[in-house]
Amino acid sequence: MAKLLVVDDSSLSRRISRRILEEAGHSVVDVADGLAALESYALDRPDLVLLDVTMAGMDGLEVLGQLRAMDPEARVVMVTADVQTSTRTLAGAGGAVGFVSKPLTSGTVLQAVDAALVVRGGAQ
Amino acid sequence: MESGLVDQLDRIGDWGLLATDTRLIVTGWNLWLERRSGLTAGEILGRPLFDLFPELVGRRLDRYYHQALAGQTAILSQRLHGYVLPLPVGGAGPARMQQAARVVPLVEGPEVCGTLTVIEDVSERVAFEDELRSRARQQAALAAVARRALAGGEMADVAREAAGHIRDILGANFTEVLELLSDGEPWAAVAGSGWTEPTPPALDSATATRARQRFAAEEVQFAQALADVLGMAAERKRLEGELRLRVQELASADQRKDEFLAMLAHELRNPLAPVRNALQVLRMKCMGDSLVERMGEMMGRQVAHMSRLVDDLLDVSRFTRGKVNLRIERVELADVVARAVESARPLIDARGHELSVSVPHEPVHLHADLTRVIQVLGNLLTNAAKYTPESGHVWLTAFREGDEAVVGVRDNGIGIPAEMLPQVFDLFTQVARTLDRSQGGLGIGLTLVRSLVELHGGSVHAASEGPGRGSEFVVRLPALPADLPRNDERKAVTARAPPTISHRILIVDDNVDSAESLAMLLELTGHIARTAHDGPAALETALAFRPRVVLLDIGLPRMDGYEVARRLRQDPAYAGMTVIAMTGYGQEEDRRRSKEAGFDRHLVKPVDPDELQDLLLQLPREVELK
Amino acid sequence: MILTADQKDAVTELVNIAFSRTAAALSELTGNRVELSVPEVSAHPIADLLPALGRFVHGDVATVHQIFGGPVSGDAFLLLNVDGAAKLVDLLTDAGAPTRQMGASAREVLSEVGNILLNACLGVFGDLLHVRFTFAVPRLHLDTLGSMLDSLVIGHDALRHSLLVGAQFRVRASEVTGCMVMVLGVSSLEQFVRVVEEWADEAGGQAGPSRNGD
Repeated sequence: MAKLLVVDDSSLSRRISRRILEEAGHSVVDVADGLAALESYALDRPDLVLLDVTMAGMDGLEVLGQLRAMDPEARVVMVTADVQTSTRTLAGAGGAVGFVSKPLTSGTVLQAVDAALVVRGGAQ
Repeated sequence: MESGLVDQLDRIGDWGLLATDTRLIVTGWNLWLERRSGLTAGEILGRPLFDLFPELVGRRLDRYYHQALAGQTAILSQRLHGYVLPLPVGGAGPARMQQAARVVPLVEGPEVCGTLTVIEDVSERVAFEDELRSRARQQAALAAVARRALAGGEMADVAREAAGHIRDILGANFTEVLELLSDGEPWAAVAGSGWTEPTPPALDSATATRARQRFAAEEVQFAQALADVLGMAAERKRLEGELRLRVQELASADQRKDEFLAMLAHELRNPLAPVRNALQVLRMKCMGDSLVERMGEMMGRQVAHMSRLVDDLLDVSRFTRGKVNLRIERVELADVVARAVESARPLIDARGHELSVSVPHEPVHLHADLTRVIQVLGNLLTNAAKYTPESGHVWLTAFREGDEAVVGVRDNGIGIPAEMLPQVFDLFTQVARTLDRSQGGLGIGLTLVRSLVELHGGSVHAASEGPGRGSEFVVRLPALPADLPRNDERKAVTARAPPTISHRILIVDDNVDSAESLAMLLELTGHIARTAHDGPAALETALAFRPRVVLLDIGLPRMDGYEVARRLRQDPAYAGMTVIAMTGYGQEEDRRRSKEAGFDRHLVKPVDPDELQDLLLQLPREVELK
Repeated sequence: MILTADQKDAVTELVNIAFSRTAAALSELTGNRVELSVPEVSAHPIADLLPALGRFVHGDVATVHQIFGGPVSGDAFLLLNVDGAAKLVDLLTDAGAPTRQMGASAREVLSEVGNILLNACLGVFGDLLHVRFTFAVPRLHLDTLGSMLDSLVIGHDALRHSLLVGAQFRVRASEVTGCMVMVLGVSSLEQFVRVVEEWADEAGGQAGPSRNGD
């Protein structure tokens, strides 16, 4: 249904996300780091980004900032094992529209994705 | 099974043992717990743990039990929780036992079959640690207050800091603690008088009170130590204040003394000029009268001597007020030595001494004030002559050493005792006075020498092997490099030619004797002289008399000499007039000022008649004034 | 044993989740945000552990050990330099006057904190890997890094290799830094990696409702 970009430096996480999302009918592009994510977003203009918070190199919150700078309308859902409320607050302040905790389950992932897509009135 | 374990553990250690099953029903309650809680096992066993101790749930410690049931040990530290079960200390009394505990799962094979809580009484340890900590805090507080006091903080600030620590550490306020201190004396001194700042608010408000509780012995100790520190700080402040006052008093006394000396020297000079002039007149008038001549010579010597004494005194006072300017020029060492020898020669000859002088072959040049350096060496030679019994020997050696010019003056005279050596150069010391006064001096000659030498960037040292063994003084002055081109500095000595010209001269001086004696002198030498004693009179006389030369004292009352000169210069009728200033000081600044005011020449009082004659001779021929 | 890229990836992901829970527990205890670095996973001969750990801490260290057994056995420990440990205790107990020495009370607090954090970490492993761990009583060790490593005893394994998973953490608005480290014996290592792979395959391949329950 929608075009999604998955950003995570863990290949396992990327695999898990892809399975969950593809089974729900979305098309998925996945990248392993922040720079690739910015590149891919610029070229592809996906409907939604699933962004891991804890990455080596450019961390997730930084990528979030760059994405929103590039496109203020960008919809980003943060994915993280970090369950501190302060993290959630920071992400929200940075412009994320959703939050998913690891370990990823299809339930939590799809719920967050659907909620985020509704904001803009679905995919094109 | 569990009771077996509990019994075993009970035998091993001195701790509380509480066992439960998986439903958290109590299955074990040991003797230790019975004794300390007053609850027997019979009352406890078989009942739910959280019914017996509901506050475990309220304090959220129940999660540790659930954790144990899940197979994980839980640790409860005393610092974070205080205690697990509310038990009094020592079986009875109000204070609560401090406990450290673990809740461990009881296992049967892979299954958890219950929990065991092991409780340790750590009250004593905690009390000990608290005491250590409180000691540390007290020490830190004392150190902080002492540091602030040592750093010279204001008493109010130091006291405020101390009051803060009392409040934090003892939970009491200032006045309570003052009461309890048996020897509250240092603190009472601080709190009562001792400093002038207004009482800081911390000292009299009672924000923390300990409502009449008794203080422990070590708390009293702490308060006393603080009081001692404050007492010392207050005392120190007081002493500092006194010291500052004393220093100020000394400084102003010193300054007054300097000013007095300057005024004294200046005043002493004034009578000298007329006396000298009058003397000249007498001698010229009574030439041929041998009695008058002898008397005249004697008086002349005395006046000259007194003049020198006054000049020295004036110099010294100038030095101490930093008011000496040097006229620096290139001088040659051998030349300076020659002139100094010349000035001391009369005394040396009079006392029958032998003088040996050695100067280097190559010229040694210095940047120095010629007059002053001659004064220095002359002084040393004179001293050597004075303090050596008649028919002694004086040696002067001058040479270059590296980048210094060195002059040593040695004698075989009475010497200087070792203990007096360090003080010879000091002003008015017993040493100098004793020695010098026996020879008719003031005891300031060597001080002048040192001051002048040091002003030139040099140094002077005294040495003597003791009484009767002679003395040596060595002066070192910075010398110019040896390879500069030669420049003959010798001034031509002009012979004094008898006056052949007669001028009309107006003498203006508010010192009547001074003016009249000078006038008489000039008339004797063929000039026509008139006197005036203040500015307006001078202008009036000048108008009528039309003098060729005006000798103007600067220090006139009401209208000063500068003003008179300006007025004279303004009038074109006086265009060819020579105006000469007479001042008490010969400073550069004065010379400049007189030049700016329009004076042609500048003479220093008392005016040397010969110098004046030379000046008059150099004037262009009389020009008819319109 | 050399880990494949996929294995390494899977272990890292697992450890990331576990350590994040730990950080959350510490955050709750201190009331401050805790920053966690990306966990590093490496396999070392025991002899090389010292330099590897030396990157995280220096000088005397305080470690709280949780030895665990079961299908996988090992020693998990919280590693702090002594200064950091003292600061952590001060932070938690609001001590007033800071204490640089580790008195008995301070050591107790550290044991409790270490226990809480390690339980959080190992709890996650247990949950996700469906492995039933048994835990020994946590031990506090204050010594140099070298002496501490010398005393490592992990079950009955002959220790020649270890898996080192570590992440640096920092408690915001304090100067407390340290790291979480897990060391596993070699036979357990193989077993551990296998169990992790199972988890990864399951999670990666399963698209139905989760087994963890939300």
